[in-house]
Amino acid sequence: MEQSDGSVNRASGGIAGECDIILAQTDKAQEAWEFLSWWTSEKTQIEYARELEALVGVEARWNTSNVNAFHSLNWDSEDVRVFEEQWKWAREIPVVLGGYYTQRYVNNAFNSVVVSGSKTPRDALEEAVKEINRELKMKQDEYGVTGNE
Amino acid sequence: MIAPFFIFFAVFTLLPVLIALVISFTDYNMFQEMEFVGFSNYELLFLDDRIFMTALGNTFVFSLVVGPVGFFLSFFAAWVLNQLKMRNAFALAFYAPSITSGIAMSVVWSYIFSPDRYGLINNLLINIGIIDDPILWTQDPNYILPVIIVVAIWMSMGNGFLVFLAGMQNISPGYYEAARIDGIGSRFQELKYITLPLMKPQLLFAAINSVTTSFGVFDVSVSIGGFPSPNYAGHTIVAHLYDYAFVRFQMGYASAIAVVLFVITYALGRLLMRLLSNQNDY
Repeated sequence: MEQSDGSVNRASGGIAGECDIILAQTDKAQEAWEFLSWWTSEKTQIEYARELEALVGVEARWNTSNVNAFHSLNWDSEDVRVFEEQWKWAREIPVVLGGYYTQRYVNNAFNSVVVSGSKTPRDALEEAVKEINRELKMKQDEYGVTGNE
Repeated sequence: MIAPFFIFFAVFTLLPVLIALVISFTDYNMFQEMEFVGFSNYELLFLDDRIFMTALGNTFVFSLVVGPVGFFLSFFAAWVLNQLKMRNAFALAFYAPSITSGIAMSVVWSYIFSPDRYGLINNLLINIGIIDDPILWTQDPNYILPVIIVVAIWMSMGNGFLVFLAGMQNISPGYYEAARIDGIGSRFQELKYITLPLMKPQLLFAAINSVTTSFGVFDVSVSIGGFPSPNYAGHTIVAHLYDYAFVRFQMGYASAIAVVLFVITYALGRLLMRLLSNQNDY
């Protein structure tokens, strides 16, 4: 998407990321932290990735959690540059209360205009916006974000 | 003596229904405390929820088609099969779709109904020349419900099938011989005067089964139409319930939907019993 000053905004979301969490209710928080620090450390990740590739083959070359470890694997240096550039543009859609409604109604609007042709774009989007706002507001009220319990 | 059965029944059937009933009068989202709100869930459900009306309509259309048609198809299949020689092989072939899970079968069917050029039906129609562009079976709101109905009919052929087959084999051939002597001519007369009256319990069981399970359709509609389907075209009551329970985390409202579904299926079951059962004390 070209921006007003000529640069191209390559932001895209939908990244299938994984993350590790430590639950607040656990009584072994310190051990969990140490374990995760060890697991995501550069050395461990490199070792794991190399062993996996040695066992299974080139298809098992995976995306390590540790960025430094990623460099030490057998990726093409050209590929690594492209990946790093891509990572800079990775931006996820923010999750809000009731956010599932946005995708749903945008899809519905798209569908009613393009696929079944039953609505004009203006009608479809207007209804979609109305419904989305209604649901967002309802969820915010429910969880007390706006203060109107 | 009936204690073991009653305990199981109470714990696994009665108790969840009662709990659903209780929760349906509250506002509960599992993170905050349960708040008693009286009938407001039901008010919203019947007066203000257009998606629920769509879901009700979809489910009723679905059940009215799939219930009776599946019922008749399985009866017809059992009747035809009863007179063939290789009964067991055919019976297995008919019953196999029902044993496999709905989602597995839907994957197969979604290949047939795939909305691009390579889906089997689209490919066939394009090759013959009937259409130019592929029909968007699973994305066009006009086509989603018929597609789900077709798949569900296919999957429900085995529902009452075994029961019918067993019932038919239980009718002793003496009846047929006596009828032949009395002058029955065609097979249809046989069917009408001997087979059907003697199979009333099986008919009742299969009818109730097929109608009530077709009201609870969810996995077929979700794996073909997606969740939620475009413009809620394939949205069924249970899909609506799932939406409210597991996407929006409004347990009270979802329980209200569940109670409504329970009342509908119960009423239909009683109606069928009155129509089809033998004894008067049902």
